[in-house]
Amino acid sequence: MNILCSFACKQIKRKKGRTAITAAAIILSAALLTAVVNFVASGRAMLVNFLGKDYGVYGGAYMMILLVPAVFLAALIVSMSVIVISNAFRMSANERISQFGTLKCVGATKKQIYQTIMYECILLCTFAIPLGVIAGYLLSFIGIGIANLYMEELNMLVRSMMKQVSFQLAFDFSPAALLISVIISLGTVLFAAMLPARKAMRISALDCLRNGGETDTSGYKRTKITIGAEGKIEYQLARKNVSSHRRRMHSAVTAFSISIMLFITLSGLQEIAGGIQDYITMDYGYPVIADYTSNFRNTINPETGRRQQEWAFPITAETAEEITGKLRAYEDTDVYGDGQDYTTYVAMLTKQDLTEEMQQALADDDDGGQSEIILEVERIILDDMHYGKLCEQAGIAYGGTILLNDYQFNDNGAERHIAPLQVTVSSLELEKADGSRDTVWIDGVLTIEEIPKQLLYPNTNPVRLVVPSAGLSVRGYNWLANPADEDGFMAYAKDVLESYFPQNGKDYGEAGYTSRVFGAQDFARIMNIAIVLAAFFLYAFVFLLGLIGILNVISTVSFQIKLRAGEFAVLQSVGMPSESVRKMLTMESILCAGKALVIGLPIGMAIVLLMARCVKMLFPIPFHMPWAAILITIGISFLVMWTTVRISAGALRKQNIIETIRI
Amino acid sequence: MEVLEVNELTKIYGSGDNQVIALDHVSFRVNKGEFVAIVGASGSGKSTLMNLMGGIDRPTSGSVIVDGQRLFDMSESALAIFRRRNIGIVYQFYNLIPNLTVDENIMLPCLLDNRKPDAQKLAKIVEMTGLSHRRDHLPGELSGGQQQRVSVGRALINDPAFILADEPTGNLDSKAGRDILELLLAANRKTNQTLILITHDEKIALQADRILTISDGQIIRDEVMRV
Repeated sequence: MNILCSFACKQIKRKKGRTAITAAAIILSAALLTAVVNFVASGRAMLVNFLGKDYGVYGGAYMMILLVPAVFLAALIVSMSVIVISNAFRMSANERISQFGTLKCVGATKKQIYQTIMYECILLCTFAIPLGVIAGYLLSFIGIGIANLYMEELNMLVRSMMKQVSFQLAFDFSPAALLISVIISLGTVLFAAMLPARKAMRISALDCLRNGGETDTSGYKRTKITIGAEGKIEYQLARKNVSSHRRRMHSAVTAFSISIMLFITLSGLQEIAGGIQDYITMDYGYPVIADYTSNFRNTINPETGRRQQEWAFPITAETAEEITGKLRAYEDTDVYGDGQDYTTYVAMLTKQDLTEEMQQALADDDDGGQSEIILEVERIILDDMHYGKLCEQAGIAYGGTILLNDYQFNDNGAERHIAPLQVTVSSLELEKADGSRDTVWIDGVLTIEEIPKQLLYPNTNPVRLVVPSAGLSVRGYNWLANPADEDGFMAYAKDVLESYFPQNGKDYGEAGYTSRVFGAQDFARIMNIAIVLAAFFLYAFVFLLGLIGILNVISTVSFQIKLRAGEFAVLQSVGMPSESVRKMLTMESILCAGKALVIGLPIGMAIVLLMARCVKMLFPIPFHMPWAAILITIGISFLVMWTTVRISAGALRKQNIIETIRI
Repeated sequence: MEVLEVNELTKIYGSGDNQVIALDHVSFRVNKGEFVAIVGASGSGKSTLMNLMGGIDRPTSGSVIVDGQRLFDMSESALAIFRRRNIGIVYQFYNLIPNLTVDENIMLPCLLDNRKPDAQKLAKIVEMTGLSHRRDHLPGELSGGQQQRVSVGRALINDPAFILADEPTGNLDSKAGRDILELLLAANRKTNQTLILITHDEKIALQADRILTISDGQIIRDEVMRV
C-alpha cells in the first residue's frame, strides 16, 4: 500500500470516534442527496404516468415544479455537508499538522500532503457513500410508502371534483438517478475535503513544526480580563476563549445557525399553510356543491381595444333553474342556486358615487387621479325561489335589481369589507367591452349585515348586482345543497349534470366546460393532506440536516476540548479547580449556542416574515410568529451545546495534569 | 570535495521596528566527510541556519549549494524531493510519525519516493541503531534515546550529502546522548558521512573536526580541530 494511503488508513483507525462522526455525516449527506434525486425520479415517473411522456402542454411548468424545490433542497444539503465534512477533515488535518511538518522536512511534497488528506476522504467514501445511497433509497422507499397512504384519499377527492386521476408515487429505481446521486455525493465530499487539504499543503514545514499550523493569529480579538469586575473569572475566561477561538468554532456555529434558521422557517411555513387552509375552508351551511363552468378565452375588442371574455358554452338561467328543480326533487333537498358574470360590464362612476372608504381604497391602488371611475361589475343570478326571497328581504318587487353593497378585499393581509357605493346611488351606467352602454336602476340595497352568507364568497367585484335572471346566460353556476343522504345526492346530482352537460369520457375541461359534484370541505381536506405530507417530508429533511449540524457541533466541540487539554492543565496547575474549568466550559457552550441563535434566529424570523408578507398579498390570513418553535429551538440549541461540552469535559477528568502539560 | 557551500546567507524576520536579523551574511563551506559542529548561545541563529541549510526555510538573501545544486533556485516541490534524497535531518524532539513502526519511520524518505529501500541496507541501518529487536514497535513504545536512534536511521537511509543534526542529544539523558553521538560519529567515520551538528554542549563540539561559532547571526569563529 502507498505510504500516503497507509497514513490515511492509520488515521482512520486511530481516531475511531471522529471517523464515525465524519462517516455518519457523509452517510447522512449521501442519503439526503439520494432521497432528493430519487424523489425527482419518482415524481417524474408519476408525471409521465399522469400526463404522458412530455407532461402535456404545461410540461415545462410541471418539470420546474419538480426541479426547483429539488435543486433548492440539494443546494441546502450540499452547503451544509461541505461546511460539516470540511470541518471534520480540517480537524483531522490540524491534529496531524506536526506530522505534516516532519513529512515535509524529510521531503514530502505539497502534493503528497494534499494526497494524504484526500486518501482519508476517499477511504471513508468507499464505504460511507454506498451506505448513504442505500439509506437514501430506504428513506425514499419509506417516504413514498407514507405519501401513498395519503395519496389514495387525495385521488378520491380529486376524482370527485375533476377527473379519473390516479396519483401514485412509485418507488422508481433508475440507474441514471443512482449514478447522479453517487456523483453529487462524491463530488460534495471530495470538494469538502479539498478545502482543508489545500490549506494544509500550503503551510510551511517550519510553521507546521513550530506553531501547530496556526500561522495567522491576526483574527484573535484581544479582550481584557477585568479584575474585580462583576463577571466571575470563569465567565471572563470563557468570553475571552470564545472570542479567540471563534475561527475554530466557526463551522460549528454556522452549521448550527443554518439548522436553527431552517427549523424556524419551516415552522413559519407551517403556520402560514395553516392560515391558508383556514381561509379556504368556507362554511356556507351546505355540505355538497355542484357546479358548472364554461371554458373561456380572453380577446381584445377590435373597435374599442378593450379586453373581453368569450365563453364557449354559457349556461342559460332557464337551464340552471331546471337543474335546480331536479336537484330539489331528490328527497326534497334544500338547494341554493347562484350564477355569476364577472366580465361583461364595467360601471362608469364619479367620486360622488363612492363612499369615502371606497375612495380611500381606490387611492391606495393609485387610481384616485381619474375623474371618471371605472369599476368592474359582478352580475349575480339566483334560483327563482331565493331571488324572490331576496327581493322580499330588500323590500322590492320581484324582478328588481338589488345592489349588494359590500366589497371584500385583501388589505395588506387582513380581510376587509367596505360599502363601495353611496346609498343615494339609484342608477348605474354600465358599459360593455364594445363600448355600448346600458342604464341599470337599483331598486334595493343590501348591506354586509343583510347579504346572505351564500353570497359572501371571496374574490368578488366591487360592484355587485343581483339581477333578474330571465333571458340571461352566465359563465358558471353553483348549486349549494344540504341533502339528508349526501352520498346518494352526490351520485344523483352527477347523473343530473351529466344529462345536461355530457363529458363523453373527456378529461377535465376538454369538452369545453366542466361540471363537478363535490363535498364543500374537499378543498380543505386536499389542502390538509398536502400540508401534512409537505410538513412530514420537510420536517424529516430538516431533522436529518439538523442532525448533520449537531454531529458537527459534537465533533468540533469535543475536538477543541481535547486540543485545549494542555491549556486546561495549565489552568489547573496554577490553581484553578476542575469545577471552575468545567464552569468556564459550560459558559463557553452557552456563549457559542447564543452566537448560533443570534445568527440563525433573526434570519429564520426574517424569512418567515418575508414569506408571510408575500402570502398576505394573495390571501388575507392572520399570521403569528411561531413562538413555540422558537422557544423549542432555543432550548434544544443550549441543551445540545451544553451536553456535548459536559461529556467532552468529563473525559478530561481522567487526565494527569503534568502528563498533559508535557504533551 | 565540497558538499555544502553557504554564501552570504541572510535571514531577516519582521520589518520596521520589529525587524530581527537572524542571520547576517553568513558564508562557509563544508567538505565531504567533514564533521562540523555549529555552536552558539540560545537565539544566536543556529536553528535558522540549520533550517536554511536543510532547505526548510528560504533566506532573505544569499545562497546554499548542496552537491553543486543551488537549493533556492528550485521550486518548492523540487526542493522537497531534493531534500528527501540528499539531506538527512535529525531534530532535538525526534519528530517521528507516531503511527509508523520503527522500520517504516526509517524508510519514510524512500516510501515518499514510492520505492522500497534495499532490505540489506535497511537491516544494516536498523542494526546500527541497535533496534533490530524493535523493528515493529511504534515510537510511543520506545524510550527517548531509542526514538532519536530511529531519527538518525531515517537520516541515513538515503546516503545523504550531509546529515544536519539540531541538538540531537538535547532532550536525552547523558547515556542516551552518548549513544546517539556515537551513532552519528560511527556514520561519519565508518561511511565518510558528512555531519553538521548544532549544539551548545562544548564536550560534543570538541569531538568535531571543525567548530563554527555563531553569535548574533554572524560566524565569529571558524576553528579547525583536526585535519
